[in-house]
Amino acid sequence: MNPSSLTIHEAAQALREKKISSLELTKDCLARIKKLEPKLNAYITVAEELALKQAKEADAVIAKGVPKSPLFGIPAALKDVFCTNGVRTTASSGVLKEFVPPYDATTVKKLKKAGMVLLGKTNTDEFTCGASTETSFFGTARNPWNTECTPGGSSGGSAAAVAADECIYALGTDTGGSIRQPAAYCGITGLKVTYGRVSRFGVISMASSLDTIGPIAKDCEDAALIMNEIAGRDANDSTTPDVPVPDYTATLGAKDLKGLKVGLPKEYFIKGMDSEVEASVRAAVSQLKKLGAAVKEISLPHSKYGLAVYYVLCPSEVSANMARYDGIRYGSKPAKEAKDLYEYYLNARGEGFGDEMKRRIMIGTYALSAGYYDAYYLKAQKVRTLVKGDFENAFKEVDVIVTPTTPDTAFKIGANSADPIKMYLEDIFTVSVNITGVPALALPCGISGKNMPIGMQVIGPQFAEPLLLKVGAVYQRATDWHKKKPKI
Amino acid sequence: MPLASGYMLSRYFYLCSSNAKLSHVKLTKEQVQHVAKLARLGLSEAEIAKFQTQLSGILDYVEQLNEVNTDNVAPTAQVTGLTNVMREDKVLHSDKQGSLADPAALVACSPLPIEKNQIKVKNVF
Repeated sequence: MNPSSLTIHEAAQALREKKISSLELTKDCLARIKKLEPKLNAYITVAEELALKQAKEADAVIAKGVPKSPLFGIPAALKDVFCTNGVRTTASSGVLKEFVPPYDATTVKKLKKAGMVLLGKTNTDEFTCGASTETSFFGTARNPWNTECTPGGSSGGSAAAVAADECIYALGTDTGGSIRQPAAYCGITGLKVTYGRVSRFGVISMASSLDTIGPIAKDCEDAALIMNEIAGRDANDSTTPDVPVPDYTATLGAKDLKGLKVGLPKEYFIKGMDSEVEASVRAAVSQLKKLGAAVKEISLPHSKYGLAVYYVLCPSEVSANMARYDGIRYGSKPAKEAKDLYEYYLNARGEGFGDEMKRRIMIGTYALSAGYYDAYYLKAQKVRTLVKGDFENAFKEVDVIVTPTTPDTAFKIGANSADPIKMYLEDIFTVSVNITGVPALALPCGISGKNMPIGMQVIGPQFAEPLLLKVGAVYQRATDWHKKKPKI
Repeated sequence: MPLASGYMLSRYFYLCSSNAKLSHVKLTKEQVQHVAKLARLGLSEAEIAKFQTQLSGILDYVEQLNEVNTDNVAPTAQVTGLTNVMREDKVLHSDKQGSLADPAALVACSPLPIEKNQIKVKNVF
């Protein structure tokens, strides 16, 4: 078995028992990157020199004794929206193509303290706006299960890198499904955390009332180990509540799911969804039943409005966040010469932003402009209350809600790019979770006839990550979908 | 470009099915130009024409929110329940004090000329 195919917990044990060094592990990941990147384009920047240096330093520490964190000396990848001191951070945008941040995001600081070896920065849709990585300034990433297909997005590079063993684990961001949809398409485990559970400081913002940061990993145990390092309040992010951080591995040892009440929302098993996806998710639900869970049908009546709420709130908040890219404080100087400041803004933004960003900035600016605010943004915020209320009511009856993560398996690159609304439909099963602010775990639960991964989503109430990881871990001990690897 | 799969279309119709009374928002070229000006976004003629159609399509799609009765429903702006998060207004100078970065390093991120730790921009008028 190649070292790069290990999970965090397997690699940590091998490091502890001195069966492998961090340098060997890192070199194996780098070799894998060299071999596969021409096909996958999962990375925007590979920090080879830095990774080798960090691995050697980690080995020196390990030689002196056992480090505290199981993440110590383990090579990881970060979506290219996490600011990394001295390592280029582009957000896959022409606007930031040469940006080298002078500081680390809080999550990066925490992972460095835990002993992360940083392999590089992974591909994403521009400023995380997309469901396929096709809007990346650096070209699309590809799915390791079938390189004609998208790995999903926006955290598609992180998901492809984890699935193809180009790293041991990765971090991604999820604003409307950007961790879960790629996790489903690449056959791996991804956790969208409760809004505010993980600090967003130093992570390039997309839609500030929806953005979350979370692990993209090979199984639930790994996701829990990552959560143990990154969760918690941060003085630099005022949206992180002071809720105690549990040991996320504490619940994983459960033998079964006796007493667990699972809800299946009828609005998520829709006509027209892929029959293999439906069959796989229903089989997974049967498995949960076998493990002791009680299952009942529930209703989330405002589900069908989730996407429309999202596509008002998201572009509005995107347009506000993108205002800072004025070509003055960071980014590249526009090629066209300007006669005054106004023209300089037009040039910097017109040249720098890609098509989808321009579209969202335009929609958001329109929706927030005088005379339209009440009709769009305020209306969407009110419907948001109703969507959120659906989940609050459901969690009075059930402990977790299970749905498919996506209505189909990964689509072919190019299939959705002509029509923005078709691409937006990719988020149909994931956005309501962001609107509500609750956590959701995406995990593999099948393989299609065309050999593409299928995923299910387990949604819980605010701060119920330990419960979600328990359900996931018990399910993963009973099944082996998470162990399937693409042949690449 | 591959055509939309049957499944995609059925999903589309699922989403729009309840939306019988679409008002068909149609943005004029002048409206698109005005929004682009507000957003300080330089657009080509081709982009203006394209966005006129695409933005109208997206606005049409979100019109379905008008079907929902939101009388007496309070808006949700955020989901943490936190209010007035305060901290001391103190300047931090070194990493040990918890400063984010060296001010000179932050200013150096600019693509424009730097004078006395300030960024020199184009004239406003």
